[in-house]
Amino acid sequence: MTKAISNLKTKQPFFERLIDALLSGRGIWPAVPSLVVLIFVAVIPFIILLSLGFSNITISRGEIVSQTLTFDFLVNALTDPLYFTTFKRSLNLAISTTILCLIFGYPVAYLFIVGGKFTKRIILVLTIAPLLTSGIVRTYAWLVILGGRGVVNSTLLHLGVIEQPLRIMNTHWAVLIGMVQIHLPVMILPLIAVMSRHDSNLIEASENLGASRIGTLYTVILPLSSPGIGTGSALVFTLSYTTFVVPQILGGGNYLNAATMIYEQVVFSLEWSKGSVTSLILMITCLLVLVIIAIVTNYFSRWAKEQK
Amino acid sequence: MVSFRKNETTAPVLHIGAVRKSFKNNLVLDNCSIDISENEIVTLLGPSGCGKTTLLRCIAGFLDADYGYINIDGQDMSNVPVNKRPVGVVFQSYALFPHLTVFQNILYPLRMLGTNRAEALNRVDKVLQTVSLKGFEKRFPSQLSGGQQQRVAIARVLVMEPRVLLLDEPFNALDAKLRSTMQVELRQLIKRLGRTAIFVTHDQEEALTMSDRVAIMRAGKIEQVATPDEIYDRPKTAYVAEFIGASNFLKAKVELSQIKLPDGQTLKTDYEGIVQVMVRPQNLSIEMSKTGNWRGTIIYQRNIGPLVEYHVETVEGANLKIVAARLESSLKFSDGSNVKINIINPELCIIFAL
Repeated sequence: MTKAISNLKTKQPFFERLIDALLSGRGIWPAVPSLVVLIFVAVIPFIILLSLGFSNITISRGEIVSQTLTFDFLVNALTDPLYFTTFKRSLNLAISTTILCLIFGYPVAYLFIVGGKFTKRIILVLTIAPLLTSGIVRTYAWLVILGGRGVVNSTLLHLGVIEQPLRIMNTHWAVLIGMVQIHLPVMILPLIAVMSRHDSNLIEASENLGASRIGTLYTVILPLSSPGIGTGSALVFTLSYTTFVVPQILGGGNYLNAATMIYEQVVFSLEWSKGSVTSLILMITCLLVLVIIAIVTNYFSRWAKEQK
Repeated sequence: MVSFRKNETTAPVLHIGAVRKSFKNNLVLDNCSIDISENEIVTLLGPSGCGKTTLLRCIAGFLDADYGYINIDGQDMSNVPVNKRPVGVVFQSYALFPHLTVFQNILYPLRMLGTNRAEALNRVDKVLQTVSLKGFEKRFPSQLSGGQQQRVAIARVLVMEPRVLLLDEPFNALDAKLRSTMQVELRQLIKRLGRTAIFVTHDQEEALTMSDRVAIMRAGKIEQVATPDEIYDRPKTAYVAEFIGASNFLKAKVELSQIKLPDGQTLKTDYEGIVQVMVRPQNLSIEMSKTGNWRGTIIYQRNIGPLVEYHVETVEGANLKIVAARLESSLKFSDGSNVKINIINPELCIIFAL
């Protein structure tokens, strides 16, 4: 019987066998289509980009005439104080965004798991609805709110709290406010996903065992949501560390972070090699922080590894 | 029965008086009253949706009753928050904390109550011994079998030394064989520790095995509270009779304070008019015969280990369940056999007004 089946399989044409393998769910086969795409759109371009950052290129009449290995761009970047302050600003912005998203997002996720059907629905709609509009549109909306004659300033002026309009636009604060708002759903969704995976009786159990509401939050809900905190933080950090749109719009074009720096190097000064090295530094530092987040998350969710 | 009467003189540990609870316009608990004495195990038994779990949740404080009293040791619980009630709940899902080891799970209530470390460790150790989970302290709940998880859930509650144990279908997640062993074990454990407990279940066998008294619930009301024997032998209503054990219902007419049973025997009664007579399957016997007052045909036989269950269709068209011990002599019937049906002891038949 088994022999008959295997005979049948070998007779299948190559294309059918390929489809079978892809759908089998075994090994890496199901990932093959996306791997192929990734190699063409990410791996190969990345290698080209890297090669640009480490080569001296002479261009003549639109064609590369010579290409030699050099570390000048890297050394230059690592010694230039402008790079240091820019990356420090990026890191500062990304970390503050992540922490603020966690502070504002966690209570929402908590409300989601303890709330009734109606509360759950409202929270989901409010969390997902902003994702339906483009980030650029949402960022421009902040211009209306934070601008010199925006909603915030006119209200404060009207109430007599301030006499001169506050300068919020084009400052670090405007960028931070926009970043938190844009990235909040990315924090809330993994939190909800992880937190609602657990037995809803756990909260009742801990209260029955003598824990107060706050005790339950600290000893049960918080530790159980640690994988969600890790995932959410990693996502928000990556997105906000490499963000371009928000600083560009709300920073009024003079807020320099890593991404805007790369943009200027590549688009305005046409220094592709410099841009390539900056990208490389951005990627490596981002990975470093992600590794730290992963280590911390793993430490706090050791128990999850013991699961069968 | 004797031990129970003794308890009646002492004050009840748990007093539930006229508890009513509704969700929106849906009355889930209607005037539920029951007193539970020290060391007593009571089961709330009923089909799903009868309100048994709601009553349990009201006692634990997860829900507030709309009306009525829930007193523990004479103290009104209505304003006592969940975490201050002397009640321990074993959940159907066990609700063990997945991020804590067995040891940490059992220590949890003592940590929350602020028991001093030395005493807490001592108590956890003792309880681990009681439920024979020594050596499993460092495991996480996910690394335990269903039976072990259940014991952790029980240990975690016992360590608080609550006045009342509440167990919400604790055997549901276990397979049939383990279930019956755990039922006996758990009953013995609770009795040995001298605890007062309420079980919630929809499994009548479990209720009869576990409890000193069974409370049968129906649509938010407690229909009858009695010992397992009494519930089985003297059900108050047809509903109770039908819910506990298999039963056959026969319609009969009372004439001159007497009922003529279909097999020719008579039964005295105070009822009048048309009544229902309940006969347990083991109170019926069959023999091969084509004559007799009450005849029928075997439709099919079900082999349940030591017993054989015969499904018999009577000449009048009624379906009867008849159980006999699986002996040589009872195995001679084949499907389609014509048989004569007899009631072994008419005195054991229960009469209900229609």
